[in-house]
Amino acid sequence: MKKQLFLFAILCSSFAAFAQEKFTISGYVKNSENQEVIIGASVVIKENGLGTSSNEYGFFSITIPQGTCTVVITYIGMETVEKIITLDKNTKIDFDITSKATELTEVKISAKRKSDNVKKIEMSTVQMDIKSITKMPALLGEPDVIRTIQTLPGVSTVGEGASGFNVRGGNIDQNLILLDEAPVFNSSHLFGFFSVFNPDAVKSVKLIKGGINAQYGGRASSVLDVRMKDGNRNKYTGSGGIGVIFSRLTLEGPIPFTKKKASFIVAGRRSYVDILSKPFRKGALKEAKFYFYDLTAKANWDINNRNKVFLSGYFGRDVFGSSAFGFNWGNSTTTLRWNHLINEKIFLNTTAYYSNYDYNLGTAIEDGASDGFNWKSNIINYSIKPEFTWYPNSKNTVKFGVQSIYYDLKPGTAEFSSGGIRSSITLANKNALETAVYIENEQKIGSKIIVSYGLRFSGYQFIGKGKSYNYNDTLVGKEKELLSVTDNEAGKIIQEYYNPEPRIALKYDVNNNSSIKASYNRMAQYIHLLSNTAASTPLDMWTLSTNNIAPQIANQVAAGYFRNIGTKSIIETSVEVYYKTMTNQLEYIQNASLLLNETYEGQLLAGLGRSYGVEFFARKNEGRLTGWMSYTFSRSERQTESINQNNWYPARFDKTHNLNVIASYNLTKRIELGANVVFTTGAPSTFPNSKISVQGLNYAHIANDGRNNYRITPYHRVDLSVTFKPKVKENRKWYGEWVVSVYNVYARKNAFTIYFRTNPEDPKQTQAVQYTIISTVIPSVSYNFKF
Amino acid sequence: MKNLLIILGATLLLSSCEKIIDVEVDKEEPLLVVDAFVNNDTTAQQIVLKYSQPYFENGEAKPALGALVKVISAAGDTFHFFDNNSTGVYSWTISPGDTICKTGNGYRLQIDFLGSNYEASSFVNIAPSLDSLKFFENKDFLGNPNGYTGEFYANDPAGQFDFYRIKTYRNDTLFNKSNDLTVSVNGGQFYPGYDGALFIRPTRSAINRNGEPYQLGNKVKVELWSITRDTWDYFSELSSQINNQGLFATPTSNVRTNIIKTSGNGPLVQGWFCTSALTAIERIVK
Repeated sequence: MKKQLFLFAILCSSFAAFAQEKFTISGYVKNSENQEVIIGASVVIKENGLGTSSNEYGFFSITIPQGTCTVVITYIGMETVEKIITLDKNTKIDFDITSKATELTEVKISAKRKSDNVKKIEMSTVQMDIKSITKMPALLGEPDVIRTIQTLPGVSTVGEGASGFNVRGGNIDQNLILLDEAPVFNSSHLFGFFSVFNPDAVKSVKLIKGGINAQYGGRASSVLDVRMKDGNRNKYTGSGGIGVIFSRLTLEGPIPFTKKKASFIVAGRRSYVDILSKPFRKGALKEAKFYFYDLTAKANWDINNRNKVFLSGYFGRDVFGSSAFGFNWGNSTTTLRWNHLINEKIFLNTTAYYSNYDYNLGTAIEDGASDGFNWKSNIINYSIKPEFTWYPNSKNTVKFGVQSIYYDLKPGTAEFSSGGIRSSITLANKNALETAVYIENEQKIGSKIIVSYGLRFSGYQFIGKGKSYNYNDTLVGKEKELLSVTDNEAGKIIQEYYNPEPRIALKYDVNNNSSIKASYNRMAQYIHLLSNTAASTPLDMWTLSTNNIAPQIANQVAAGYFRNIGTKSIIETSVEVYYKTMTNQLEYIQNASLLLNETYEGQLLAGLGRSYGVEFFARKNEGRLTGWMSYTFSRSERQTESINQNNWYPARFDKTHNLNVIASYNLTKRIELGANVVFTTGAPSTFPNSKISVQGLNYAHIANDGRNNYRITPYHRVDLSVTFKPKVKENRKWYGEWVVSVYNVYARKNAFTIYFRTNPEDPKQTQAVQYTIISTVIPSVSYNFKF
Repeated sequence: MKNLLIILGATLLLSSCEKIIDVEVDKEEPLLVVDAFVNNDTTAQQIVLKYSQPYFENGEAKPALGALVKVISAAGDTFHFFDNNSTGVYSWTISPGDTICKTGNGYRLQIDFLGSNYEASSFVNIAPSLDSLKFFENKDFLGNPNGYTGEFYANDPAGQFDFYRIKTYRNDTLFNKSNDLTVSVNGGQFYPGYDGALFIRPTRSAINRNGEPYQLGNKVKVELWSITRDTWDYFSELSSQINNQGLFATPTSNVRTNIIKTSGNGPLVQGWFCTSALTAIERIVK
């Protein structure tokens, strides 16, 4: 409590009254072509150097002494706008900025101010511009947000095609993946080859690995904040692409009869390998279904100067199966947001969302069918989050708010039908309420220092109606014995947890081109993904914290040196070190059986995690040659009682060395070349020592219950691409480009896993099997268009 | 389900592939391996004691000789097993009408070997009778050769969890490839399953081999072994380990053992002891 009081005292002292009369300039920064608001544009007062930047909704507010001043708006790839204002009262002014003439043919979506890397307090953060994502040579020519994220420093993955990503030693469930502020529980299509984000509808992507602000919480390791485009206010436009695996189409424009006060965007994708391959499929495969689709839609409306609303949604599904048996999974999210200007200095955003992830597996049990099986599982959550941003003066920006999330988890219902007799298994529903209050101030001290200090205080209640299970503690590592099951009435608090989560960050400018930053954050996580396979499957089950599963807590310190090199086309560079500890990392007893098991909690173990590393990053955003290089040297380890003789062992995604080079070069105005180079250490794997023979079956034994005692071979790959663009013409209505790409140029057979089994044809023979997901060169051609 | 994933993955032309590779693994001290599955059948019962081998060694396992092996019932009856041929196969020769495993009774296994004592216990659960075995003719089924697929019918007794292993013999040869291993709970595939009904379809038809349908004249025998919950876990773990494959392979981990070394400095032990009631049905495909 003392800590909170202390923070509050600092906060108050920083707003001590100033004698001189001051006024506030506030407004929105927008792109003049489509009236899309611009996130993170720099707003600087030329005379005194005071500045701020536009927030997630394009809003800015700055309070300065009265008099005449020049407001300068800058944003990468956009013309700088300067405006002289005589400030004798609070002034509301919106800025329309225009793309630089040379880049007229390209839609500018998001980038950042040239000096942000050094000047902003945020660290361990990468803001990606969708254009640099689409420039990368991509698998089957389809640019992808998550696969791009996997090339950033501090990010690793179990292997190619695995779903999700691992940030600084965290499991995949430790990433808060937000699409317009609603969490996405499974970010993958087609297992892990593509992500759910349609690049045509994405405005900006920001990955935060450390120094995480108090406004974010609920996951231990990172935040991936994906914001959708709002839709063109000026005219109807479209874009899309035709590729080998799927096609995309996006339409946007003003909503009629709203006097350009409202606009919409609708973007859809569908894969069509199933349709293309149909003539070649035989027998039972003829009826096979395998496709995914998604639809992303958003509308926004400026009600008046002070109020704006946004409604956005995502609906996607993957479907696999035959006529007799199949499974499918999908996310749907809906977000309603309301921006309200309380006054020039206080911006209120209220977000309410609904998010659902579900999967379904089985045969259709239709009426009259005598034999069948059907299994469903889903997790739904509802949340409301009012957040205030207060710009008291030019030195401070205060954010405070509340977030409440209600979880409704139905881990599994399975229906069986045998000989016409039906029966079912239902795993107990789980409900919980997670509430957090937070406050954070970003404060400028002098011209060189920015500090940010905040506190998020989260509380969690596991509540009825539902069952709770009481287990006996047995030998660690053995399945716990169920003692009793309690039926809890609706609303009864079965278990509660509270966690203060302090967040602190500091930036010091060494000089105009370099700075030092440091941060500490503590994160609490109350929901967990259960997965004991090498790569997470779409059928993995989410669980809530309960009386048996404590929340995961992560503590992270990070420090870094940031430097911009060059003057004309700047190269942003940084070196960061981090150390992170994690508690209550879920592990599983040997051969745990998690699916449709009512007493799965008895098979869980709580372990510790730690990770540390150094990350090098260099990025060039402008010029003929653009791209980035990242190199990470790191360790990600776990320690769990009863595993590996209680010693630390590497996590499944521990990659000691991780190098990525992504480059794009404008050969001519119409030809662009792209290249990716990836090298990582092989993933850890468990190799057996002995062969045991029982009942004519041979199985493996690992000495001392070892875990991840070997490594598979290193992973490396090169991809190339060429983009052919049309001639630049005034008033061109249709813009189309061809992208030819080659993935895995030298056909490296990278190991995904190595596993040990008996020869399927001869149970006496044991064998080591290297499993490769992509074992050949994958060329592709795609065509992208805008109109 | 995993098979389905693999078929679909392959259709997606993402060129996933499996390759058998050579890897070097460390050796450990040989373990004593106990293979003790006894049943109520009136044929000779066997318990096999051998040593473990380095993982990639393909020769015969070395027998563990000179052990004293006995099974003791809860009532105190002792059944001695002898290795008459020095092969590590310890047998108990039955007198007519006598059985070891009486349904509803507990049994202990005791082994004295190299100055160490090893123990395990088990229980004989009920095995329902197999009501019938039927064959259906298949043509052009999933690209398989033409032939017959079989299904057996049995009703799970209501009221408790019942665990079973299903063993299938064609012309007196046991189906014993890694994916032939079939266990069931209450006639279903999940624990806790449903109860007291006809065995459900994936279990009923688990007596068929993909690509090798039965032919006219084949003699097919299906055995239902009652097993303990622990044994069901053991076989489930074993099956998932030896059938590992694909994108969602499980990291290799140890399969449980119920044999405990209670004293001495003899080798560490792995393996399993289970007592079963056994029912069977046999039919010629015609």
